[in-house]
Amino acid sequence: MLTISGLSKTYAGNVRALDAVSLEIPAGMFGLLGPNGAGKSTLMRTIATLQAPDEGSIEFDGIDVLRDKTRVRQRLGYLPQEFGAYPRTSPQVMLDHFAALKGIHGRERKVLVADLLVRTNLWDVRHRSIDKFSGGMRQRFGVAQALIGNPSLIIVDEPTAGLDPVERRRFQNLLSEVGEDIVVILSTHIVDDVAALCPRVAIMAAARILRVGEPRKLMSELDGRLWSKTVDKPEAERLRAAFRVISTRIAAGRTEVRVLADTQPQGMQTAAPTLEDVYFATLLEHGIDTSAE
Amino acid sequence: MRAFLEIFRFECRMQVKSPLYIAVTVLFFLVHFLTARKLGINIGIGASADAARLDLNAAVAIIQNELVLSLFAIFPAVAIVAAAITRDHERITAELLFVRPIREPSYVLGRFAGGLVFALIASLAGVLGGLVALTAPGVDPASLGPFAAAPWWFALGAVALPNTAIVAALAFSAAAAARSIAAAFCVAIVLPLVPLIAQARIGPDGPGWLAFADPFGLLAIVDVTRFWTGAELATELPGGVLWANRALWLGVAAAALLATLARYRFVVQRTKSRLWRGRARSAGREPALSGAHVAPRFGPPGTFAQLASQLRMDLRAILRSPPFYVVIAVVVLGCAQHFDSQRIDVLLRAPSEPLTSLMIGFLDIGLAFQLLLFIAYYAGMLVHRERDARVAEIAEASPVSSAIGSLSKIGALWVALTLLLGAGILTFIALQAASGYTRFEFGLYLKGMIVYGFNHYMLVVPAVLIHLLLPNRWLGTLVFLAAFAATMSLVAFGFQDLLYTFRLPFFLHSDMNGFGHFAVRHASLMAYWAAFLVLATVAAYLLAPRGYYDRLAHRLADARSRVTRATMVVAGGAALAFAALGAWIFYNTHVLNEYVTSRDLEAHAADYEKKYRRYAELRAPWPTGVDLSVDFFPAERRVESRGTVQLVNLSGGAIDEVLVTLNPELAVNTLELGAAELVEEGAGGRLYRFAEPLKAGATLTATWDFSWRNDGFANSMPNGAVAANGTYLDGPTVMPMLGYDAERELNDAAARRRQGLPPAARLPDLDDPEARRDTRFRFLPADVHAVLSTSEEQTAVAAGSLQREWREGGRRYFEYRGRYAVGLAFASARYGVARDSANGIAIEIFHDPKHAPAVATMMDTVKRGLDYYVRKFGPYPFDSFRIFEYPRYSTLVDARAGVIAYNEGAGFISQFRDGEIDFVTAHELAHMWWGAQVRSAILQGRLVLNETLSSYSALMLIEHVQGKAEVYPLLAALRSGYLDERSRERIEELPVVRAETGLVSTKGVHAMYVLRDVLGADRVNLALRRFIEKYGNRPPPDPTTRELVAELRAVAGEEHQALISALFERITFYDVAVTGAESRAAGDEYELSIEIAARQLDADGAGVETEVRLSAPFDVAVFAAGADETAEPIYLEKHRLTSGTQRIVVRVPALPARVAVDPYGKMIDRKMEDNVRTL
Repeated sequence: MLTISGLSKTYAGNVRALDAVSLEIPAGMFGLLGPNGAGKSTLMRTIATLQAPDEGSIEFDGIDVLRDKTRVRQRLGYLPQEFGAYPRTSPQVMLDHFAALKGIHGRERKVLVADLLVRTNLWDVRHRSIDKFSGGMRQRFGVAQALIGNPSLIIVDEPTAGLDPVERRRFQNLLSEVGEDIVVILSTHIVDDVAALCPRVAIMAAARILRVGEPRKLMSELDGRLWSKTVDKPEAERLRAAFRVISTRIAAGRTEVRVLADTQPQGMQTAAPTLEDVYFATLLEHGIDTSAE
Repeated sequence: MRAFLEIFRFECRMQVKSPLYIAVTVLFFLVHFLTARKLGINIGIGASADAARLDLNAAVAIIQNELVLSLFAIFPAVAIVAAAITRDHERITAELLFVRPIREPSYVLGRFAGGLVFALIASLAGVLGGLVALTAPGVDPASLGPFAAAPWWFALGAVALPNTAIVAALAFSAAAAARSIAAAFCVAIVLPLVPLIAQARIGPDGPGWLAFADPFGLLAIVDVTRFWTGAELATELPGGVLWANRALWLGVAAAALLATLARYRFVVQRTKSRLWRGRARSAGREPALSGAHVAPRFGPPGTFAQLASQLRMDLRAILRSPPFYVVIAVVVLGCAQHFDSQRIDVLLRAPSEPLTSLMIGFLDIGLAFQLLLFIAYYAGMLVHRERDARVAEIAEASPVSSAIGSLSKIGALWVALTLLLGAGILTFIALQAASGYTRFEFGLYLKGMIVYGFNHYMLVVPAVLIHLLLPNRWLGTLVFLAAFAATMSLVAFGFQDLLYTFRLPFFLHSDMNGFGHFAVRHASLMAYWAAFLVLATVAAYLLAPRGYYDRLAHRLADARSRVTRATMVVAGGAALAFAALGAWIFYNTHVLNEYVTSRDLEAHAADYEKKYRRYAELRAPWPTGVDLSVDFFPAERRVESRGTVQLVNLSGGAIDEVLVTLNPELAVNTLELGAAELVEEGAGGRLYRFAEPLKAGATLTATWDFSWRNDGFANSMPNGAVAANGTYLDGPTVMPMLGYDAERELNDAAARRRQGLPPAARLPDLDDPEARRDTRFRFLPADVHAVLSTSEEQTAVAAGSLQREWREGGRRYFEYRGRYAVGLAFASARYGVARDSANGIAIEIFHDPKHAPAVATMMDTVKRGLDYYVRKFGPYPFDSFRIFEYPRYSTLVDARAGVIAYNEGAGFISQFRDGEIDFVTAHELAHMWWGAQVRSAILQGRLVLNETLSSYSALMLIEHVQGKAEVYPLLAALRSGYLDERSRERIEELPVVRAETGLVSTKGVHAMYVLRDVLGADRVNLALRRFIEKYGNRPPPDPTTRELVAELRAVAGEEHQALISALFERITFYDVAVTGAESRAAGDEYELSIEIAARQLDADGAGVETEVRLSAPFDVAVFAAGADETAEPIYLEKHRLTSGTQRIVVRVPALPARVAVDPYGKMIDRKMEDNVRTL
């Protein structure tokens, strides 16, 4: 169980990244959903012991994360948003090195590295330079290193950004194999990742946590309040002015407009809420612009 | 064009905002400022413009400075210009930028121009720094000539800007081609070595084509100004080859840039680097998942394994980067070059044996430049590597100690340095083996690597620390280099205490005395700085960034959180050791010994002059008998000397005051001059006054008791005279010398001004009759009785005949007696002795047993020399001849009465060819005639009678033993040696008869040999014999060069009088050229018609030349077809040449190929190339 209480962080120039963030994250996959610039990465880095907040505290299984960093790091698997490898270095060498840093030594290290390469489907390319990896291979390598040493806390920051759908699916499968009895935080701005993987989710924007809950529950809150209509572009503009439009999506040259309303607007059909709708609705409720234009 | 401007503007904006650019510009200004004022970097390249003797703002001095400092343009070339093209590759913006519709040439040119502008601004700031230094107040006005703008424009336009552009273009092109800044680094480390390496290859004929090989133009200017006079160096601007060099290299740079423009493509290459072979190993069967539960282990063994893994990764980064191999190559090349330089036949000096002792010192200063750049570059690369590769976050969130990062960077650099030094050592060993040398001293190499390599190892920690503190790699590199330069120039500002000089002082290893007395000082300093490095490493550990800090408080809090008990213990222990060792060093350098800076030494020398110069005219009594004991205590480096000297007043008048000159390092226990009263002392002298003046002819006994102690170690260069093995002390260091010693006066004009002294007194005029009668500081033969004692395993040596030798109380005693002039020499070492005799004279050579091979040649030289000199010049004046060896801390070889103090480096470690004689031994032996028998009056030309005649005698011995052909190359070297010497003359050049300085051993010897060539050896030797008969072995007044020349004139015919004038009394140059040559068959011979243009120029002291009538004999030689350079000519006769064009017809037996006038350089002709003509 990871408990975050009253975490605040302001950067130079009065840029607020965390604003009294409090969050309880139980074992299992936890999705942190939010637009770019919401403060997710700051939160991830803070949990990963790499950044000090201005205020607040974090506790993980009884460990004060902000003070007792070493004990946290012994339990941590971290896949940062941006990561790489030493130039001209293979995943085998790199994983071996990361395993050493994580305290795996001797013959066990060899066995572990081989296991990870197989699990992440990198065995065949284990001698190739990571520089030449595709985005998906690179992310799988990233997960492999995050899994070293049986971490009980895994932080994965924006892991699927830039992946093609196949690679993203493969990546999601890989993540889903990670045990359910440990805390896994998946920070992303891609709703699909969370929907696919996470029994619990928090929506974050503008340095604050806006919603927390199980996706199913959050979706059901929109039952009967979500409507949609597929129109031409000028019409979409008109609807935007008249209703609380949470999203517009171009489909086959026309625009599907989804509207939040307690009663059914004229000419619109009921729509089945998705997590994405929850996400957009939440942002809209908090006055954050979600328009795609 | 628009794209170019856009990129250019973008690049400029990037630079303007960069603290790096501002830092570079400011530093360039400062470095030039300090160097112009002689406070900064001092790299001696370019022998011809010996800056020490020129005004600070002499034209060539300004240009020379700029040439050397333009080497520093490599930094902006890499960090600003080349970085501009690789910046995009290192960041992901490459892909974004490359897809925009910009054409490659505009892009490349924009980047280059944007970077270059700022590199050029930096070099402009540099030239301004020099200009301000020499025009702003605070500079000694006497060291400045009149201001001229032209040299500054020249330095800017022909040196600073072109060199910057050349280096920038080459570094930029390399970086663009390899898409890596590493390639630019390779260019940066190689280019400055080109002039350094090429310089060592300059032969007696000047740089020649090497002038073109050097991209900076350093050697070109050497070539152009080689024979310039001081007046020319002060005002003239160099041209000729320098312009050609500039054109060539600007062309090369432009070509490289054009090639880059043409070939650069916007493709983010992912080609396989050759070093990364991707190793297409068999894929291997995919193993089944083991499913093993692998749990991490922490604690000390785990930490060690983590460090090992990180070290492996960091080392791998170095070993897999191509520049590392370039550094290895330059180290190997540098070592090979150094090895060679020890083997090259320098003028009149046989090459040295390739002793390990001669090699290891190179590992320090010899590799300083290469390894400094290596550390600067790789420390930045390693420290910033995790961030650059975006591995940092993962590594930093791992359960590793924050110490591992810095420890592993330091460790990896140390391992790499060890590999580099090891490569250097292997080079030496391989070359030793290849040259047939077999005394391998692996242990000494290992020690050398540690004691001489320490200066490199110690730089690593601050380099890593600086990079950890600064976020920008290039800024860190610059700060590191600037800090290094600042440490180097502390010395010039008078901050010379070893306690804060972050560099161990250089010292010589002696094959004879090992590391000797340097060992304790060096070991103390190494331990002291090692403790400091531990502290710096702790600082690096505490301050190493981990994670993100958006304010300093966080970083400090993080540092605080790393302070553990272990840290405290380590830091506390190191601090304690640092303080304790510092106190120990302080005790040695400030308490046991006086702390003196070079300025203090200068002031001390000035003090002696200020205090006692006024007594220079005092007459002094003469020694007639000396009775002394000298006790050596080699292990303590202590010598005790006591004794009495009988003095008599032969001055012709009464003496009421006597000045005693003492070696300032001596401890005077007692010193009494009869009943005279001590009235003044200090600054290395004492003044005594007689209550009753010492009448003419009266005698007096002086007694003394002196100690020479070396307690602990001193801050400045230790005095090497008293060594554990190989002590050599001369007269003034063991007994009181009477009179004022002008030799102790400061020579350097600027130093004299600083000390408020008038310009140095020059020697009295050759024809000054008053000065000639002056006989102060002259020695007459006296009876000398000396009892020496030393430790059991050593032998003590002195002049005179050995009366008795015995052991007593665990010490050895030697009693010597003799009658000779009181130029004393005493030595003690673990000697082996070679004994022989010639002409009834016992010969002994006391030497280090390791150096036996050279002793055979020296002995042979003495035997042949005694025989030859006795036959030609008259009897040898002593009953024995001894040579003793002493360590190479000093380079002197001193001739005393029948004894030569000969330092090991001058010949004992030389490798003589079979049948070769040792010039140095031959020269010193000749001093037993020229010096011991004929002394010279202290007037202009005084050294000619000692040095010139001794060298001439030695040259004749070479001719006698080895043949004339061995002398010719020496003549050419003497000729160009003279021309070099001449260009360093600052005040006025003097003819041989008045020569005061180095001319005596170049032009003087050359002139003597030319005369021998024209008159024949017998006639010249006859003149010398008569000279010694008339003037040798008698009391003053002593002869001058006038008497020598008179004897030479007496043996020469009327037709040679003009030549003698030209050689000895005037400054004469010949300008001879073969302007045409035709041959035709005449029977079985060939008739050759040669057209020769000739003229003679006489120069005055300032170098202004006027043509005079020529009539002198010249060699005319004809060489056969197919013969090489060194072949015997088929025709060689002297022909008298006169002013103007003349035709000579000769008959030769074979088909002629080459005609030459004066092929062996016997006449002083500055342009020898036109003396030869190929048919």
